[in-house]
Amino acid sequence: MGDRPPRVRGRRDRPRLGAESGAADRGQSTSLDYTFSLAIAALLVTGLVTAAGGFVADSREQVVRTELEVIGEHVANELVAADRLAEAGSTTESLTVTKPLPSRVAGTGYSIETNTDGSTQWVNLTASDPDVTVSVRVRTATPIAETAIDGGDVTVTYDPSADQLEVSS
Amino acid sequence: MADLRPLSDGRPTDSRAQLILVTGFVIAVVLIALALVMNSAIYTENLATRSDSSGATEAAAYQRAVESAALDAFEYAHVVNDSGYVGLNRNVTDAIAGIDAISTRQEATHGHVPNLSVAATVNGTAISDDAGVFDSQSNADNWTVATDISGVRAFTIHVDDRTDLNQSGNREFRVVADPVSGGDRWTMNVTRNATTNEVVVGVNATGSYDECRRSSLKPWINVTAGTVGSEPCDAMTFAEGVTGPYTLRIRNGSGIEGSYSLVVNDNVSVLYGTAGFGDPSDEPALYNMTVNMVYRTAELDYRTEIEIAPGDHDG
Repeated sequence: MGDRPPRVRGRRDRPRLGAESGAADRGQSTSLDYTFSLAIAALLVTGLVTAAGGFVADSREQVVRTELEVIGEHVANELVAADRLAEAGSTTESLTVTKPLPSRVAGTGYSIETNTDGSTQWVNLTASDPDVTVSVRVRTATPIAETAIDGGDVTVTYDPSADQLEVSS
Repeated sequence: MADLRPLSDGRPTDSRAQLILVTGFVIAVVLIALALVMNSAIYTENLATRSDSSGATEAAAYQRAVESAALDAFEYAHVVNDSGYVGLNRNVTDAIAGIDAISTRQEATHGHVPNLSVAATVNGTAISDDAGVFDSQSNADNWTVATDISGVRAFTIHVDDRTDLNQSGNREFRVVADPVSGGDRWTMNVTRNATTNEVVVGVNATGSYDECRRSSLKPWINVTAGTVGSEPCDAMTFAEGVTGPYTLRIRNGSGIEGSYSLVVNDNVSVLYGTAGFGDPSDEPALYNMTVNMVYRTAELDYRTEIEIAPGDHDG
């Protein structure tokens, strides 16, 4: 028997890219393709993360603003209730009203300030991060002392000697 | 899960997916932050729906209820009066103690603790004349009702017939509050206008004169409430401009016919003897009563005084 004729190498017998010749043998077009894919993916991801982060930041600011408004209304309500009691009796000897309120709104601290501008009285609430300020108008017959306290439980006290309401923490 | 490091044989892996992994992590953090923000929003809604929890509203309602009940008790104490200050004081003290006992049980069911007690009473004298002209017991036309007083309440005059009233300037009927230590006096006169046949109530206070006119045939004049014929008379504020104690006088008492009654804040019963028909009479009465009220809850401490003086012109 003679030797078998040599096999003709077909398509299936060619060395595979990356297997026998290694990844370094890939074409330049493949590298560019990979780079572009990576860049586009990074761009999309960055945009997604930025948009989501902005959405969360906006939502948080809105929540802080709403919560400060609610807390401001509660403080104003307690001031009006205290005013009503102070004015009700012929001589109010002492009056203390305590209102439990959250010390933080959406994870940030805030301050409560009472302010009198002419005949108008205001309760101003300010959060530092995000920077949000909310003002609630109060109408009381008894003057309100101008004070500033950190957010949290609020105590409204009537001072008979000065005939005024004071807000303290 | 994708590998973050090369394989153990040193070959790089082509399925690490670090970018997707980091992105997923960041998005997870964002979602957690969003959840926390939403939680705050829900808490805000919860906070917004909370009603008054300190009890201030209940305290105000309780104060009004006590004021009303104490007023009734004060008036009833005089109805069942045993004609002495001791009895009057016992009546009002017992009544307030009764209100306190009942209200304490009711409020305790809500966790609120009230307390009521009579702090003080001021002895006074009720003076009245039920018919005839407004002269004194000795038939004097000009006479002194009470001296050195600082308060009058429930002062009402009923004009029996307006045709009996003198005209202005012709011995007109007057009530005068004359300061003991000098100063502006307050004067009220009641006359009839002959032309219009109206009852004219004129008030001279702080140097100025003003009047109210009514066409009622038999008007009631509530001097301390400032009404004539059940309608407000802006000119009339009893003892306006009078400072310090004053003497209450009647001038030209025969210039009017009807009845009157008032309570002064002093014991002046020594001025009057046994009253006959048409003469002024007096009897012990409490001028006012001060009630101490305490109302406490877990978040409220309220202490006040409630003054009961029916018909007081300051009240």
